[in-house]
Amino acid sequence: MNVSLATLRTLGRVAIFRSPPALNHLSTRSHAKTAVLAGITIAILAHLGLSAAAEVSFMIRDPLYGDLEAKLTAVECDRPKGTPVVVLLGTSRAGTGFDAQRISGPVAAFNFGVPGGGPIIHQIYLRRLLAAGHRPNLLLLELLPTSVGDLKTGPPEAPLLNGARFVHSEIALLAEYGLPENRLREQWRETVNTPWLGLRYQLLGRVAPTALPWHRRHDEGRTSDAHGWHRLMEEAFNPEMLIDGAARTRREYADNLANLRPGGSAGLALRDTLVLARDHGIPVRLLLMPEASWFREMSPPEVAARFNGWVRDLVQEVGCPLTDARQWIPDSGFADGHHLLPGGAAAFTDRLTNEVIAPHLATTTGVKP
Amino acid sequence: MPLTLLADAQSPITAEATALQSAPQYFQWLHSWLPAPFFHTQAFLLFFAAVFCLYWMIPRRWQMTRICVLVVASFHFYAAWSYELAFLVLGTTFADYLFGRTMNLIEGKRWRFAVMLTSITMNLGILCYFKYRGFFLNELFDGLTRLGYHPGYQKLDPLSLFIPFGISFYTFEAISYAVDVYKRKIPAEKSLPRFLLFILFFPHLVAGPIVRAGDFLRQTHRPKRWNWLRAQVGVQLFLMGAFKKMAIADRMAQFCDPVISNPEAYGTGTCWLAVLAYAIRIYCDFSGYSDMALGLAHLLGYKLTNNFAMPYSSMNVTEFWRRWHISLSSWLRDYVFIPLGGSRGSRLFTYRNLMLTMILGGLWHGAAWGYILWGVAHGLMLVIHKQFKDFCEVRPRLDAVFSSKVGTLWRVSFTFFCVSLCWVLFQPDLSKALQMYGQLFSVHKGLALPLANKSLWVLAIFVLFCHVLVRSGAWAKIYARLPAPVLGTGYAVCLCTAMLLAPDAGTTFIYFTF
Repeated sequence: MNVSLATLRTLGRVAIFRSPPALNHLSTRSHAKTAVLAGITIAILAHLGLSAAAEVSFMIRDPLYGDLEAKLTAVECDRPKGTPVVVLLGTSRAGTGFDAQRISGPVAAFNFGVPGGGPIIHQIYLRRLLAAGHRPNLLLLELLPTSVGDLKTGPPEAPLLNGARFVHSEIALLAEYGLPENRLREQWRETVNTPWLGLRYQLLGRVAPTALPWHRRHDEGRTSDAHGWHRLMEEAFNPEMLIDGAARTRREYADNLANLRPGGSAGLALRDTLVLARDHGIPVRLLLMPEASWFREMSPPEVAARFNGWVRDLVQEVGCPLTDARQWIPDSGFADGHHLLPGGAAAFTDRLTNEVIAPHLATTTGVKP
Repeated sequence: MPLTLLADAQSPITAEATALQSAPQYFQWLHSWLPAPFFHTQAFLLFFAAVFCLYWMIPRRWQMTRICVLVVASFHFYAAWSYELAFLVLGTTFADYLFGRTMNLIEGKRWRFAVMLTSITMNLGILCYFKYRGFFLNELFDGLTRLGYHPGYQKLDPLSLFIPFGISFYTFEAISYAVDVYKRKIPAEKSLPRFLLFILFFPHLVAGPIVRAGDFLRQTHRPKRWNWLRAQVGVQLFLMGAFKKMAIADRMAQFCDPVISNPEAYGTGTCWLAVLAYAIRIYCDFSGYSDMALGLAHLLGYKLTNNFAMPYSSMNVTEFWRRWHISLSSWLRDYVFIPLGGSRGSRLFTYRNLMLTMILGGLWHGAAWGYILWGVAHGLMLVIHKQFKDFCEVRPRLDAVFSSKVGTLWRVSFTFFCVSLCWVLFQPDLSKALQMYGQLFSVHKGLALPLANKSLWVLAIFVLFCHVLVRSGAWAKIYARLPAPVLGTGYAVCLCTAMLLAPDAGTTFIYFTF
């Protein structure tokens, strides 16, 4: 087809450079009416759409879970058929301490460490994982001693939980464990009535995290490696920072550890989580993560004995084994007394693999990592 | 019913809670429904939706009923915060109405003048009692103590003083009414509901714009007919205001507030960034509020005075004052500068009038040395600009350089720089402002901004881009060609983005406290 240059130029001018004629709509009332009504309709649709999307996708409502679950799915899909899956469901201690990718051999290990986690959020997450079809061959469930304290004010993790992270059906369960239902429902309702406001941290944290303070970013699930490990930057912890970290830890934990009384609704939630896993045929093992010697010493002997006795009773009742790794790592392996530096994480992962994961998988699946 | 906020705005008034405990149950209940007088809260939007529906459901021929609905709504809007002060405002407005009527009846100029003076004295007296009492008594206390006398009273804590919000705005409106009636520029309003609406109309009650009786009362006499064009303008203005407040001003507050409250902890570079953030914050906060007020008024069929016209694109400080807080600057021009003699006398006489007007403008904002010095600084800049303008007028080459594109860009930048530097003074605590200047003009190391600088720059560039788009006329051309569904989508996007960018905890409107 022969098209002259002049024709192309003319077409170009028409298509690109020439603006369409002005609508002169300033005098057109119907134009104004359409614009306003279209705006209202689109705004309502945008709100309804986001509300609905948040109810079905944890990527929007709870990006921490959504991103980790997506990584777990990727790990499961990438593994050769028949490779057993090991998941460690825990807190930030597990998040920084378990380098799942380090485990060599035919095993797909994943670190589901959740900052600010505790038995209640662990149970919610386990329920979500089960509903999504995940069935690990071994579930390691971290027990953070202070998270099972029986406090007058409710479960220790209550202040950290925001109703915006949960779907409607989960809030009733949270209320059963003594979390403030009214507050959680109000926070959840905000995400339904005005989702662009109620879910703004989740959404903005995904597209522009630096526009938010770090504690609002919901990006912990994205900043970990492909197997969920949060590697602490060793070079970022100079001696001064280690001292600061230790002081911060003492401030945060000293009172709780000195007066710890395990049990209450948090203890019940932990028990129920173990039972839930057992009922779904998932082998589960309770894990006490490593702690620095000075950290352990914050618990007076009678408190430590009370806690140990409570844990012993619990594992006996539920019938799940316990791995007490509190003394596995020397003090130099920690950033702040309970979060492991990469060196400590490597040592912990190797020992956990050798003493817990490998024997379990060898007996149950015949696989040797 | 729980009323969550569209933005988590926080009420600045700490004395409010104690005052409410003794309020009658009805007003306590009212407060629980409308806890903060901020336009971008869900509670207010529900209140407005109720008023809007009721207002437009009343037949057009019942214009007076509609006016009464707005008066009652406006009273409740104020009474939800403080019923006692709502009654005080109602009482003084009624007195102003009577003064106006009396002036209309009196033929003798001397007596009319006396009535006008009584009206002004009453309004200024109330303003001084609430707003300036603490400042002047404390200054007197310090002065007498320095001279060795015991003043016989204790110093007042400025934070414990209960300042009715918007008092400076409606006082100026009432004064302008009294002066205009005295000068027979306008007749005194015969209808009490119409006059009450002029002062109490809730969109402009608490933070302006300062409306003139001549402009507003005329509108109350015209029966309102629903108009989609007006509704579109109202929606547009409201959304634009909400976006400016929530997405820009409140975000900028996250950068500048910590630095302004403790400048010595921050490095020099950080302090300069905080100055930039504060300049943008003040503009978006106040113009955002004004846009919302204008939008709400349009939705009820009223047109308020435009308060801002891209002030940061001004080429000099004189132009800045023609574009910034237009309703206040024109009020000061008409009721202070011109009565003082304006620019009719010698150069020195004009400069004196300018300085006095600007000092009064500074004092209007707040009873603190920071605001007064801010007024002095602007007065000086206006004087310097006038001198420089005269200097350039007799030097055509220099004038041509400044009129060129590069020269214009330089003038806009320099004006913005000077105005931004003056904003440092715009706070109640002068010592913090001086500390800030100390940090700005000597190199110090210190903390960085609490959030990444990137998001500050993105917002600053966005504001600059909007200024360029509007000032170049490009926006008007684009807007005229936008199909209705595209405009509608734009409104929805604006609303959703404003909500999305609303920061951790919203801040109050800066001008509510004036």
